[in-house]
Amino acid sequence: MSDRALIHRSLDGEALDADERRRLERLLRSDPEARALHEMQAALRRLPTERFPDTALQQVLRRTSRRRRLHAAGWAAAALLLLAIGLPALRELTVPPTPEYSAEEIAEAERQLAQVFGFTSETIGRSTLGETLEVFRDEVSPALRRLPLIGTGDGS
Amino acid sequence: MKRLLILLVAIGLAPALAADAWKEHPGYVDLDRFVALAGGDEALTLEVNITGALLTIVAKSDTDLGRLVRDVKGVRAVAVEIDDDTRGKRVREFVRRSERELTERGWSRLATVREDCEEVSVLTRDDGDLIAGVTVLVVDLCGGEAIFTNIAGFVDLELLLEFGGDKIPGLDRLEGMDR
Repeated sequence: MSDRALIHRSLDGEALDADERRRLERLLRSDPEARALHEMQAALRRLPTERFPDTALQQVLRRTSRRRRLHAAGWAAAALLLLAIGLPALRELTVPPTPEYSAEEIAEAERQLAQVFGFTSETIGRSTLGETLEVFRDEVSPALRRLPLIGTGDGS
Repeated sequence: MKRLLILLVAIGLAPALAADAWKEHPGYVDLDRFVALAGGDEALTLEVNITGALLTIVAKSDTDLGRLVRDVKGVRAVAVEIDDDTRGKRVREFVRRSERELTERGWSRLATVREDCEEVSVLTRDDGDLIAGVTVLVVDLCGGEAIFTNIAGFVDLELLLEFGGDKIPGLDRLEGMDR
């Protein structure tokens, strides 16, 4: 058995035989380190060993969890506030305002659009498709007018 | 917090991105390259660019034009003056190349005119049974002008032809027939 184990056994109240008791006495008299260890361990054993009261522990837990809930609620409130205040500001910065057009500007746009659509239409009319249209106008259409209409209820 | 910031930025930027969304439309053709053909503002005789809110306002009007642009996302037109033969040849070659590129990208030739001093191409971009875009490329060497137009969006061809006064006689009767 080591000197350290002998010191611990004596302090823990274990029964030592006569040889062990004499060995411990000699050790504590002759070895200052052994004596210091003995004194320190004895002091540690004199510390109060009362349990931390459960009610106190629960109070600490309650406070902690409440703080956590408040923490989460705080973030949620901050996010909502940011959405309410920050989003319009962000949109101001990133989105150009919807332009307001005057009656003149709208009229000019209509004129330009009419020009483009009219040009496109005329170009198609002048092309080979235009020739097809002429055939429709001059030949197919008169022929259709002569035909009794099928499925329109005015003849069969 | 990081996710919230990303969400906020996404929400904030969405309308801004939507403003240029028509450029992603299959019927859109970038006419900037034709503007570049002009080589300077003095040769650019016409530039029309109508999209977004202004187009929406016109679309709300109860007119033929309003009905015509109802499903249109953007309208653009560019006219370039051709004041010499060199530029004329350059423009004609460029237009032919552009026409080829467009057909390779899924555009179809609806109509073509090739005469001595005039070349006309009408191209459409089909989306199923609908026309999702119309582009007209005209080079008139005698008139000294090249005109390019692009209508991006769904176009009612019959309504378009009626708009130009070229109503197809009898077509309405054909559509009314069951067989």
